[in-house]
Amino acid sequence: MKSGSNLEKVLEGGYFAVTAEVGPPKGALSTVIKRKGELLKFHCDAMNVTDNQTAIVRMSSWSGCILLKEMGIDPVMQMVVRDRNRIAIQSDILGAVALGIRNILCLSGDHQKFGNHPTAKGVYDIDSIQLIQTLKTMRDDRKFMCGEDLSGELPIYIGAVENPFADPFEYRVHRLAKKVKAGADFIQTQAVFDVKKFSKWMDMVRDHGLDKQVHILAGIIPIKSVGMARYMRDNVSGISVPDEIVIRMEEAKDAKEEGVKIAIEIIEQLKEIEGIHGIHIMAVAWEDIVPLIVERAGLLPRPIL
Amino acid sequence: MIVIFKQKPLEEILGYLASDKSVFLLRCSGCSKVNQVDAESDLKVLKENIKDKGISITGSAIKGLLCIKAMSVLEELTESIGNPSSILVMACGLGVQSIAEATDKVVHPACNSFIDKESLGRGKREDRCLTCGDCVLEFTGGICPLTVCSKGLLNGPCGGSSGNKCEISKEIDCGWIIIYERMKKLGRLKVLMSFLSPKDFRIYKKRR
Repeated sequence: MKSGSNLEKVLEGGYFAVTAEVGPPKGALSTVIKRKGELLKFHCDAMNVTDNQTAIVRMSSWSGCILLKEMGIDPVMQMVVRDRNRIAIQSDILGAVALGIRNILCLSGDHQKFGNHPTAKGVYDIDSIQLIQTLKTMRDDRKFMCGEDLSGELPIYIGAVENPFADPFEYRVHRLAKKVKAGADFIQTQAVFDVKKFSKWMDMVRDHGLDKQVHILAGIIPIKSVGMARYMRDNVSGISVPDEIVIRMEEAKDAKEEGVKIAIEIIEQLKEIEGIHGIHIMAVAWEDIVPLIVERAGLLPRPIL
Repeated sequence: MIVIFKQKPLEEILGYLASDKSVFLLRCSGCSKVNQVDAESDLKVLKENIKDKGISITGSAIKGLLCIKAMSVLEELTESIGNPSSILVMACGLGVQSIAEATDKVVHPACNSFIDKESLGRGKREDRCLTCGDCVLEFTGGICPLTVCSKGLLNGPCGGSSGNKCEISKEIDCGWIIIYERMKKLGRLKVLMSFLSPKDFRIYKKRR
C-alpha cells in the first residue's frame, strides 16, 4: 500500500469505487461540511473537497478534509497550482499528510479570471503534471523538488484529472499517459454526458495500456434542471452535453427525476466499459441527491475494508 | 503590428504633471497602424489641455518605434527638448520604458497599452519572449508556452481548451492547440509526449 487510504484499498481490491465531491462553504461554518459528510458517509468510499473551484474563494480544501476525516470519512484533498508556488505546495502537502490526509488530487485549476477575484495574479509556478511528479518524488524518493531529503515517510495516493472532452481530442490520451508516467495512481475525469465520445477515448486509453497502470473513475454530474443542462451545454468550457440530453430534460414532466434517470443510465453504461474502475459524482449544489443515485445504480453497500 | 496604446484619462495625466513647470511631449507613431491614426491631432489636443493648466510646453515630436530607437530619438531631439521638468511620452509601455532608460529626466506615461485583438492569442510582441534564460522552444514548435498559454503551462493543454479556444475567453485561441497544430504539421508530435520539467525562475529576472 502506498498510502493505506480507503480509496486505495477499494481500488486496489478490485472494487468499483464511488467518490463524491463536497463543495466547501463561502464561510467558516464547519457544519456545512459536516452535514454533507453525514449525508454521503455510507454512499461513497472517499470524498473530494474542492480547492477554490472556479476560482471562487471558499474554505480551504485541507480544512474541509480534516473535518471529514474527524467523522471517519476518507477525504481527497484537491490541490490546484493556480494559487501556490512550489514552496507553498510542498509545505501544504507535508501538513496535510501530518493531519491524516492520504489522497491528493492534482489540478491546474480554473483560471483566476473566472472567479470572484478576477484581478488576482495567477501563480502557475509549476503545472499539474509537474505537481504529480513532485508528489511521487516526495513519496517514493523522499526528496523535495530541489533534491533535498525530506524526513520520514509520506504515505499518499496520487490522483489526477483528465478531460476527454477538451481539445485536441486525439492528444488527450497522450496527456493522460504523461500523467500516468509522472506518477498518478488514480484519475477522476470530467463529467461524462457523451458516452460515445468517452468510449472512444477509453478505446485509446486501452490501446496505450493505460487502464492497466492507473485506476480511472468516470465523472458524473446529476442534472437538476433544464436550465442547468442548457447552461452546461452552452457555457461551461470542457463539458460536452449532447442535445438529446437537453431535449430529454425539456420534455420531462419531472425534471429532477429525469436528471436522476440520466445519471443512472450513464453510470450503467460506464460500468460496462473495460478499464473504468469507479465513478466520481460531482453533484454541484445538489449533494442531497447522491445517496439516491448511488442506491438506484446498485452501488450499495459500499465495501468495508 | 501588435501593440496598441490609448491615451489615459486627461485628469490622470494632468495629475502626473501637477508639480511640473514645463514639459516636452513625445509621441510614438507606433508599430501598429492603429497608433498612427490621428497622431498629430491627438498630440495637438493634449498640448492645448496641458497649456490650459498653466504648464509650459518646451516642444513636441512624433517619432516611430520609440521602443527600439529611444537613444537616437533623444539625441536627435536634444535641442528641441530643451530643459523641461519632464517628458510626457505617448507610447506603449515599452516605448515609455525605453525613453525613461535613455534619459535622466522625469518621464511620464500618457497612455495605457493593449494587445491588438487580432493577435490576442499570441500575446503582444514583447511578451512573446520573457527572456527566461531557459528556452523550451525546441520542444514546442517555436511557440513559447509561457507566453502563449494563459496559465503558462509547460505540459498543456489543460482541461479548459474547448473548440480550440482558451477557457478564459472565446476570443483567445488556446495556446497549446496552436503548439499542437504546429508540431503536427512539422511531424514532431512525438516530441510533445516528453515531459517538460519545472522552470528555473532564478534565471528569469523579471523586475518587480
